[in-house]
Amino acid sequence: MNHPAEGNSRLVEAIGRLGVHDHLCLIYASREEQFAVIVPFLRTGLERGERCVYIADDNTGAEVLNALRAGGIDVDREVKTGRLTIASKRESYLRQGTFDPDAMIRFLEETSDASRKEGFPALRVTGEMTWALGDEPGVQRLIEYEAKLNYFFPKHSVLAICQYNAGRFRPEVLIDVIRTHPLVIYGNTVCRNFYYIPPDKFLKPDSASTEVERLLENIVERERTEESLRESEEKSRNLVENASIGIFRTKLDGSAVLDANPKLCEMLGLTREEFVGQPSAIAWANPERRAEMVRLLKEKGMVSDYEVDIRTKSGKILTVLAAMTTYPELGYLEGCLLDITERKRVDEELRIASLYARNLIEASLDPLVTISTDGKITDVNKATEQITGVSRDRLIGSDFSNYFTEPEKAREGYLQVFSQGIVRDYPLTIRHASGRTTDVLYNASVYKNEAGEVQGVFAAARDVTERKRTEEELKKYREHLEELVNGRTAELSGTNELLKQEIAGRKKGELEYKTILQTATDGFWITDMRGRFLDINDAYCRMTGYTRDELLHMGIQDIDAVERPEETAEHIRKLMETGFDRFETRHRGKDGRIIDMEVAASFLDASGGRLIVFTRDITERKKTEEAVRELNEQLKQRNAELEAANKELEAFAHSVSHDLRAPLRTIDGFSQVIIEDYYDSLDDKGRDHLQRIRSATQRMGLLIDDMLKLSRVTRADMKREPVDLSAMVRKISFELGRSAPGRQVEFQIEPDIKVDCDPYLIQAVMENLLSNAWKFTGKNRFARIEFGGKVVEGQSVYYVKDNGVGFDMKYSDKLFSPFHRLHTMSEFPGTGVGLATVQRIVQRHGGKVWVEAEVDKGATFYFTLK
Amino acid sequence: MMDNGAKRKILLVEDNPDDVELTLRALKKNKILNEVIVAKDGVEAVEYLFGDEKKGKPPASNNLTVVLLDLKLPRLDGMEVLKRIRSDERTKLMPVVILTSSKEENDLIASYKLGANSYIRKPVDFNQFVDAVRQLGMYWLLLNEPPPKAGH
Repeated sequence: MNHPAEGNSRLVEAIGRLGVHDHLCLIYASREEQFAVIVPFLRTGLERGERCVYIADDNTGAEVLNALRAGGIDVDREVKTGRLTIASKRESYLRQGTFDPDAMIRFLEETSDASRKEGFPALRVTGEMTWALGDEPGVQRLIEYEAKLNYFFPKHSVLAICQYNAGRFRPEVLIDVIRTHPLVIYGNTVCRNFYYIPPDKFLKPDSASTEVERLLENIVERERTEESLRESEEKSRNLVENASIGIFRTKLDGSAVLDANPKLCEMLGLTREEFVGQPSAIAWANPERRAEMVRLLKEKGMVSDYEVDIRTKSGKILTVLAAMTTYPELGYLEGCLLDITERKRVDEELRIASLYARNLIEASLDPLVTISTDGKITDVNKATEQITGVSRDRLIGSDFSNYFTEPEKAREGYLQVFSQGIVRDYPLTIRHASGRTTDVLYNASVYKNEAGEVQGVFAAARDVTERKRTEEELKKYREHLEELVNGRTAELSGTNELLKQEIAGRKKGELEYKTILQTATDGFWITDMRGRFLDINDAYCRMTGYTRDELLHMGIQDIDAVERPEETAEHIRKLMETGFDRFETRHRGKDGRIIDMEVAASFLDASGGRLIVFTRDITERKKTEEAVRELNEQLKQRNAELEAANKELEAFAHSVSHDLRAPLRTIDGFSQVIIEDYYDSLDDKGRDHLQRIRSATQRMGLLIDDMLKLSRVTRADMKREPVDLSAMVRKISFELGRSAPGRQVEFQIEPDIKVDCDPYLIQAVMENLLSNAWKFTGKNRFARIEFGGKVVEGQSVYYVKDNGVGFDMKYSDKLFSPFHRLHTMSEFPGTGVGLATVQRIVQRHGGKVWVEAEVDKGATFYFTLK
Repeated sequence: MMDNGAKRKILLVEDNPDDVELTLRALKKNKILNEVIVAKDGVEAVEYLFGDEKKGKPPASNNLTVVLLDLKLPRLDGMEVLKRIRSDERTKLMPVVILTSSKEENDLIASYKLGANSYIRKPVDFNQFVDAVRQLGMYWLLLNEPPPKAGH
């Protein structure tokens, strides 16, 4: 706060820079000058909470208070609280009415200690020293006191301004005052006092030479100081000239630019000449900003870090930070401009990047935090807010470990990060405000500033609840698996035992097999895929006449007499595909003889491929086959011959029947003619002779017919079909009945007898048997002919039974031979061929025919058919 | 009574003279009075039927009422004759009775196939033969309606 009386801000600043151990003297000429220093001095002290003591003498206490009040100090409050004390000389310097420097210094010490005990950081004293102008005893020891104070101040938290009214003190005193104060305030300026003489030197009795020394020292020091000042000025000048910021000085009213460094000219795009001496030519781009700046300058006398845009000569806009200070008493304004265009650009980029980063961080589902070096959260993202249920504001600044189920563990965690720089997969459980917990794994690392100093820890949490759950399950499965494995192992060891037994058994079996193979009569080999023998049995060696050793050096190609080696190779390859083949071939024995072999070969996919082969000597078989083939040929030939013979026979029979009968007809016919035409010329005997001729002729005719029939029967092709025998018999019986209607014959025909046979041939059989029955019952009054079938020992037997004349079985053995008759022609006509025919036909059917008869009782003819 | 059948002739084709004799006798015994022309082999039969220009014989088929044909004939056998009879327009419809001693089924089938009207086996027994002839005559000459004369 500026006060009219304190127009000099520099002074106030300087006063503000004063601190404990400072010992100053203020030499003033006026009240204004005095309070211009003292008011800020006390105000500063009060602001700092120091104990302030004002020893008033030149002014009254009230005047001092007023002045202080006018200076903005709440005097009443300060006095009430004991922070500010206005004391008189009686209360301070001249307590017992005398002045003792040592006692005073002791008093000061006590006051300082007391203040410290009361919690004041320092004691700030200022006294109007006009008391020393009195006549109290000891006042002349003022300078001694001031000198000795210089032992005191360095050791105590005290600072003091001794106020000396220049109008009242003699110059000689003031000289010593000056010599005893390291700092002097004069002319509104706080100065370092190079006339100051340290107490050691000052208090020495013989001080003239000391003074010479000191004076010379001071001169030199001054020169050095001025030189260093000049240097410093030059350095400053250089600094300014070479500064990377634009520095300028203009007249306060802006009428002219007094100075500008090259950088500024560069920034503005002007030459020094164009700029310096001209009216202020800094083109502020924004009139509002400029107005603001001006206002600030007027108000505060300075601006700093003021961001503003300027326009260069080329029209380019630069963003600068402007700092300006006005020196009204000097009439100019100094300022510097820092080009932050680039920085702004970078900042913008950074901002965008930062924003981007921030967005990333915020978007992250993993809770992210930054933790300061003392374990406090400095930043969080949304995910952290969510997982803890605590708002960002509350999170920031709070202790990181607060949000875990095991705070200690969390603390240890981040301490570990600080010590090791990084931590991975640190398991913790976060507790949400609602009580819900989340298992997480923390990954954290420290982050450092550019100097490499650790700024804090950056930590990211990964929710592993899911993962934990999976791990749990996995564990369960693993345990389960272990159980299974254990069980399986038990099983396996059991199986192992069995296997061992099996192997033992197999080995035995193998031995047996080997023995079998060795004793087998078929040859056995094992070959490789090239056909080379790997093993042979004895039988094969015997077959071929080679020894085992000889064969082990041979291959299929050496033994096969039919296949060429490439054919063998092809054959082996095919075997690989089909797996098995059986074929015939011929092997060459050692002595060169050829052996017909039947070979059965299998492919075994093991040990790179093996052929398992059995061979059988089929020479005998082949011979047999050959014989059979020959026989077949012969048979075919014979068949052909037989067929031819048959055909001849047929033709013969045909012609016979025709040619033989013609003469018979003639004989019979003309015999009859004679009988008829020459009846009268013949006697009975003659007629009888002719009749006999006729009968014989007729008989011959019948014979021929029957013989033809018989031969036909033998020759004819047999066709089997279902034949209703009963119906056939019935028909024949009708025919027979019609041929001799006068006869009384009873037929008993069993119905529905069906048989598979040749109908034409069976017709002949039935005709024969039935006509026989008919014939041989010719003498019966009540003839009976039966036909039927019965099953005897699983076979169907058919019969024709008559109750005719029968015959004696004794003579029956040739019954079925042709021409053999058991009755004379006169008794019963017949050729005797019929039964032979029957037998032939039945035999052709694969059956048998036989008879049972008794004289006068009749005969029963049985037959079977296959 | 058809006058055609009674007036017309019978052609007997038979190589065996004994059989010819006996057949004629049988016919006579049965009072069949038609004139019987005898051909003793196939060639003569054909000549009679179709004529022989060289010998100046005209075809006489028109006048026949029935042909009695034996199968076993020298020169041209019965089947051939039958074939010719059946393949000539003039004689195609002529009744032909195969009169043979053959019992061969092949002959039987072949004859019918070639178009014989009837097939009779000559029995050895003369009496039976006479009876057969009687029946023949009764049927063919009296009962049967002969086809109309060719050319009408």
